[in-house]
Amino acid sequence: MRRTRKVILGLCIVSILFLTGCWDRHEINSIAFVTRMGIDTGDTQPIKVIMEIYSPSGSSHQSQTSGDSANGSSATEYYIKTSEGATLMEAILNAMKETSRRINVTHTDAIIIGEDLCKEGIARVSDGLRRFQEFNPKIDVLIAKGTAGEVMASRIPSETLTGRGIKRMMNNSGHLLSLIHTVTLKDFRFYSEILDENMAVPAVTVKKTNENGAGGQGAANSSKGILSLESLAVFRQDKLVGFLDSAYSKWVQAFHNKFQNTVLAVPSSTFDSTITERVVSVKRKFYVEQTTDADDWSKRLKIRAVFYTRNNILEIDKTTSGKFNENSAEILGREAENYIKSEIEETVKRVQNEYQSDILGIGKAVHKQLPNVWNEIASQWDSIFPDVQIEVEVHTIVQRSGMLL
Amino acid sequence: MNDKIDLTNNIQNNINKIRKGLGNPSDLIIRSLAVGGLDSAEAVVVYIPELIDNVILGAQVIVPLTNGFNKLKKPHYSFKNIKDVLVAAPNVTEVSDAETAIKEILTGKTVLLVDGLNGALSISTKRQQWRDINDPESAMVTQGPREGFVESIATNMALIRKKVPSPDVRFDIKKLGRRTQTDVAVCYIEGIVRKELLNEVQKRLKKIDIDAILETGYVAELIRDGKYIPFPDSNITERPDLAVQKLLEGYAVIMVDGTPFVMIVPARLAELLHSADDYYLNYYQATSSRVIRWVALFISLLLPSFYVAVISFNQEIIPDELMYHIIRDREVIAFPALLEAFFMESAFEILREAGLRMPKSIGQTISIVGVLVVGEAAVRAGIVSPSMIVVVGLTALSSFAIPNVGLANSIRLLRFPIMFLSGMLGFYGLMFGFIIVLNLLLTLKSYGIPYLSPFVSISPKDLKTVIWRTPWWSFIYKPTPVAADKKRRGGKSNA
Repeated sequence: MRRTRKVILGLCIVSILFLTGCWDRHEINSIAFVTRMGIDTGDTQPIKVIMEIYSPSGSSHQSQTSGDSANGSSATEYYIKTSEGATLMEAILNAMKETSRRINVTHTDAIIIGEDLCKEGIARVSDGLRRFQEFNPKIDVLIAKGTAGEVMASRIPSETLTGRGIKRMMNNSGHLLSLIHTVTLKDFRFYSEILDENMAVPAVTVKKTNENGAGGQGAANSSKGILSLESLAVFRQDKLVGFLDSAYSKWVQAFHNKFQNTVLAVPSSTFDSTITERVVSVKRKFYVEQTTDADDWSKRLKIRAVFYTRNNILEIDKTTSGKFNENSAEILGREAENYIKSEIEETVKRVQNEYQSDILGIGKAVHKQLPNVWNEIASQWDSIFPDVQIEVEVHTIVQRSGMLL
Repeated sequence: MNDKIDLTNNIQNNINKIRKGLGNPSDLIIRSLAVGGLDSAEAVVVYIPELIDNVILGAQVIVPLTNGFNKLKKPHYSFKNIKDVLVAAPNVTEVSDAETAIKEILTGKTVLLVDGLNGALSISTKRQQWRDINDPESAMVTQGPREGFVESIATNMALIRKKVPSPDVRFDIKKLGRRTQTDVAVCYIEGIVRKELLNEVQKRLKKIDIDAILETGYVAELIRDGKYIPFPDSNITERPDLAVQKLLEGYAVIMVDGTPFVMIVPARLAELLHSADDYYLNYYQATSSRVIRWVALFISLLLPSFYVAVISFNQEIIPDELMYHIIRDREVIAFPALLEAFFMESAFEILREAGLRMPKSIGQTISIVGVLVVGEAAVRAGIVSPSMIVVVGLTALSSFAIPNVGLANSIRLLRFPIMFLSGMLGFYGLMFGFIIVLNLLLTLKSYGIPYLSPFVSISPKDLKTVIWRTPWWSFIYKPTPVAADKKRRGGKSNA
């Protein structure tokens, strides 16, 4: 009796082994890893996919015998594979027809989507990007100003793999300057499905370099131009409506409370000077009110956005400066306040008038604070947003003047 | 040997019986002497010269017997009187049958036969020729006594008595092994040891019926729980200080004559990762060493499998930079990661095995050759990738960080099946193998105590002493499932 029980138990355990679908063994060196992927409208078919695929050039023998130097100089360890298809997935699968190795996108660092495709509507590829399980939700998504193909052909100096380079560049722009915020595939899925917020995705441009070899190390690369991250691509629902300049894009971060750090050159009339200040923190609060009973919702809603910033003094232009004393910080604070306020107001104006797309999270604030109102206006929010009153209020504290007073 | 031949009063008959019983050996010496002068009784001493000490025999037996005619006259001859008056040796017993006499001779005693007397006298003249007490090589410590058990059970018992001169230290000695008649002692401290544990150990020892016990391993295997589970359920050590530490916490120690290794029962998985100097070093050093040993345990069991699973199945979890390096290295490797790992692990096992059996003088040379062959050349030949060398190296190192040799060996064995599972099924196989191993461990009990306690049936008090090495001033409790009688350790500093 005990014995039969043991046998049955053993069989049960062994059968667990066959429950899985994990039999597909692929050695790491039989896989073509895509390091970044560009998506454009195709020439003959709707979708064109450009993939940068990692392919090790030097054998390990080389690096073994000749030491470290071989590792450092391995400049071209990738090739670009282009293919077209009716849909994104088909295009990727078409590429597999021409490669000896299985294409795997789990290590993709960045997905770059071309401007044309975005203008047609991102919905054509967004489903594929979010449904396919191999895509890591942490992949950065960028919009190419121009075509994704151009961007894919360009390099970042000192980076062998541009996908990785883009990731680092995004981190720098985000952490040090707050020019852009990273949009990952996870966020991407999120934005395209909801009404109360439109998305702003970092945009990448190719800066043409005029002279050959001006880029320093890679003379061959420099002719193709170098990549630069500056602006934000503004979407209305799933369509690209324009690019917001870096001068304003940082204040979009402030609206999202994602502001990390930036540097401002604040003109000071009191001291007849220019003060360079590092904004180390911005906290934003929304106050949403219904003011009147007017039928027009854009008149009825009043949104007050209050920003609290803390600035450090980085540099003072002393050519014509006045005298500073212990009360100067107070005055500088007021001046910075006004300057920041005007910048933010300008940003709001642009977003409302030029793009008419709520990338500032105003809809979200209404949704949170007046949920009943939101239910009524949700479907028309895109038309209400451009005219809604947004009042900006800034409170700045200037602290830490560095080594000098 | 089984037929009982009583020794009669005819000395010649008796000598013949003993001679016959032993198979007329060439190394048996039968020396005749006269007790109490020339005209008195004829007597012989029978012994095997290599087993006895000649000086003791001469000084304590022959000289007093031959000079003793003034003390004891013929009418008073009896073995009791001879024992009481003449023989100077401390340990003398009377025997009545030839079989016992033969056993006594074989264990290094001298048998005295006297004409006209029934029976014989067995006099202990055993040669005490053991190696010195040395640093125990199988378990080194950075701080702590440099003495290890030796092959003599008497010396080993003395080592324990010296450390704990308490009347509560008890040794229950019984002879096991039909042919070897090996002394096996169960040592414990009365009042601390749990009665159930002691009874269980005694019961199991009683059941042993085997021809020979030559080492502790015989006993350990015969009385263990979970006969098919490849994990040791007793802590085998040659350190007296570790044995005493455990005795004081309520464990029992089983000692076998003829080997320096004793076994401490019960043993839980966590305790097999203890080293004697955990109690000598600072408590935070000791705790961190214990944590490191746990990490080493997992690395030793799972790292090659993890590597294989990652390389062959779940490449997405490797950080980008590392992955590009691995691809570049693996570009020229012909074999899948599983075979690669299997080659390297086997090569290492062969090296280890060879290193164990090799004469010490050439051991170093061979290990250098081994490292060169296995490492550098294998990579150049395209058999393994450099990252695999790192994995195997780390695994090998980790297995040596496990203080208990038995545990390290079982982990080493289990590594291979898990490696195959993960080579075929990826992480799924890895987890499958690991869960099977965990289940084996969960079913195992060591003398009534769950092998995985204190993790199963969690007791915080117990965790405190088993996982952390708590400082002595707060080391109040003995391990709870082991010592039940007196849970507090006693003493003002830790009470």
